[in-house]
Amino acid sequence: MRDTLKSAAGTPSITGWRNRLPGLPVMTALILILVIVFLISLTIGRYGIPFEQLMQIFFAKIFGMTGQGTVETVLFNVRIPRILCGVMIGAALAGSGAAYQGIFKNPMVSPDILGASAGAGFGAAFAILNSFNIISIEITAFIFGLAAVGLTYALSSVIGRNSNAVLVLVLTGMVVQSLFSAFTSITKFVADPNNKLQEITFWLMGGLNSITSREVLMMFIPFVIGLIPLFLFRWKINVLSFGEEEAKAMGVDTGRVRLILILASTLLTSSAISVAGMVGWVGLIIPHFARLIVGPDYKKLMPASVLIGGTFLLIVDNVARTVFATEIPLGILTAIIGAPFFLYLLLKGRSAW
Amino acid sequence: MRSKKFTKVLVLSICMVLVLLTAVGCSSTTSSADKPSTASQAATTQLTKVVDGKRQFTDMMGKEVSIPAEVMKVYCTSPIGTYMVYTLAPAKLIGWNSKMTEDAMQYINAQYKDLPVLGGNMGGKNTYNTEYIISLKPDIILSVGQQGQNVASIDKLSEQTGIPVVNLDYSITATEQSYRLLGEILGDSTRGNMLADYIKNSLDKTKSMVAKIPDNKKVKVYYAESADGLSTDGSDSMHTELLNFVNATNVVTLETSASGMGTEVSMEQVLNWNPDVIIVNSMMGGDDFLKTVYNDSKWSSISAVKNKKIYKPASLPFNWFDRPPCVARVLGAEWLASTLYPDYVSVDLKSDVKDFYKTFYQVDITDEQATALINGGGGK
Repeated sequence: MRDTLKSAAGTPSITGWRNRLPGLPVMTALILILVIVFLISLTIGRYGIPFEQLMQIFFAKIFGMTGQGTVETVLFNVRIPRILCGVMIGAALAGSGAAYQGIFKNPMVSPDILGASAGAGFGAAFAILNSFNIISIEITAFIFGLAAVGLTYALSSVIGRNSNAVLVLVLTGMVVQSLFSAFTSITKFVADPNNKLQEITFWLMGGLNSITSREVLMMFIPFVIGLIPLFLFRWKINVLSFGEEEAKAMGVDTGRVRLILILASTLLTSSAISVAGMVGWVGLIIPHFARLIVGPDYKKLMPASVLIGGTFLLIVDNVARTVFATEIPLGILTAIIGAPFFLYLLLKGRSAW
Repeated sequence: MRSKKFTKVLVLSICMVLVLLTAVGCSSTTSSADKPSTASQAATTQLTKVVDGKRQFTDMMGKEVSIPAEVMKVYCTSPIGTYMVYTLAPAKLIGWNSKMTEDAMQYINAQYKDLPVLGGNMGGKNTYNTEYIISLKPDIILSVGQQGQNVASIDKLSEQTGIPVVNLDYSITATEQSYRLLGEILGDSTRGNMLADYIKNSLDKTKSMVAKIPDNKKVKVYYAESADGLSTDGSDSMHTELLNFVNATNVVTLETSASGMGTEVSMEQVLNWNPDVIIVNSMMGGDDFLKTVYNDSKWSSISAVKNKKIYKPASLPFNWFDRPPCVARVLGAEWLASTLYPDYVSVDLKSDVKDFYKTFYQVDITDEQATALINGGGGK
């Protein structure tokens, strides 16, 4: 896998990447798919809303009329906030996963493998334990997510010198991940069971069934702040993945760019976790899937990952909220789909990387 | 060279900061862990008032609520509430929280066997489907909890759906009050008060008998909650409330989780406690535990095992002791008292069981079924 990256470094210009498929039509198609899935999602749910009624409600809403009572509650308080959050969470996890893979020159990493998820989880538990307010909980989650990624990276660069860096980073990530999970367990262990413990458990479990417009807003701000640098610097991720010297030769301040990208990706991860809890696999498989479609050029890969991630999680959440009368936890579904798909990628060979 | 050293220092300092922060977090909580006083004081509740077609009152968690004057349908977020509504006004229940076993079903009236399974908020997890709950159009959401408990997730559900939440208290001493209030809410005060009186009389009777037990005669009980017997709950837990109520000593005096997670203990610790009686629960690996414990040399020296004093409370349709800590515990208190203290507690348990099932579940059971239930069975 490193070989493909190395050989990529040999290509004369960044724009000279072999194109899997032409960029613009693919992007348009992906946006179109997301929009279609979004519209379909509006019409499905355990509370049946016929299409005509849906249209009526939207027209009524546009012309400032009120009415319909329960149906409006379902649509505006339950279904739409949930759909919006689903798209953002999927996009955030896939986008940050793609960025991490480029920054660390490692196709095996994702927010969970680097420990960002576990770190953010611990940060939140710690903040809840100390009765921080909701914004401070988010900030603490972000800081600890960052600390975990930093720790993973620093440790792996000390240990992994002159050896298999890809493997060492993954292994170090596992260590950091379980370390932070242990911290979370300690926090839960000492928490007041009637109050704090339930709050922590509830936060870590996440789940999209109690999302209101407040969560949408809470997620939206860090989502935008995190996504902008990933888009602006997406071509620089290409440069980073060539290697340190090549990047420097191209006049890229690797240290600074890497730092900004890590900050942005971790912000995305921790904001997604704060709403949905730990949702695994999305950050790992979606970038690979996107690579299959648009190739490894981050100029196209980043937007493709974000779009596919949003669509994917929206579809998965639609299943979670409609198949049974009770909810299926999102993490279970992403694992059931993600694990076999990842195995398929491994079996298929590394050509996609 | 320099950068290598720098990285090492950086890594070390990050580690240290993390460890320090964790330590600070731990110490600050242990000092500020002011636990809400457990149940014993019955919540004082004003009964409801109807203003402008809305019924207004303060619920048992001290929250002001305003609900429709007439409540036709109720969604309960946990089995404790579901069983309360089922015993008081079953026609107003919109669904169960989890699937019931065939054995439990034979004590459930036919028209309620096929109510949908809706999930709930149990063990820190939300399994309900918000849209499905709305589609069933409940008038209120009923949450039965403990004083000082965090119900943020239930409040969220109410915020999303616009359906008001009513909080009741499940602690054994507050059950009577919960029934009186629920009776008014559901528009059947007659049945609510009748059941509340039944609960009060039954508990008072048990309480007065166990009150006579001298301290040196108190039985040491261990509650085994897993197939290996090494999960348990301490005396502060909602799961062992009945032990305190019948004047038994829970050997587990550790502060354990009241949230339903329990705690793991070591075999040596159990040997050290040497309980006189072990209570098991068929919902928590009790049957597997019973199969092996009498042949297990590790357990053989424990007094309860030597004297074959391991008891399994009936669990049909709802458990008499715990999991969930529901109204069946009223009968369970009597059963437990007479089981632990036969010299002090004399009751006609069989007839009381039949009476309780008739009054609360509205089913007639046979003498054989009553006897089977008393012995922890009662299934097919």
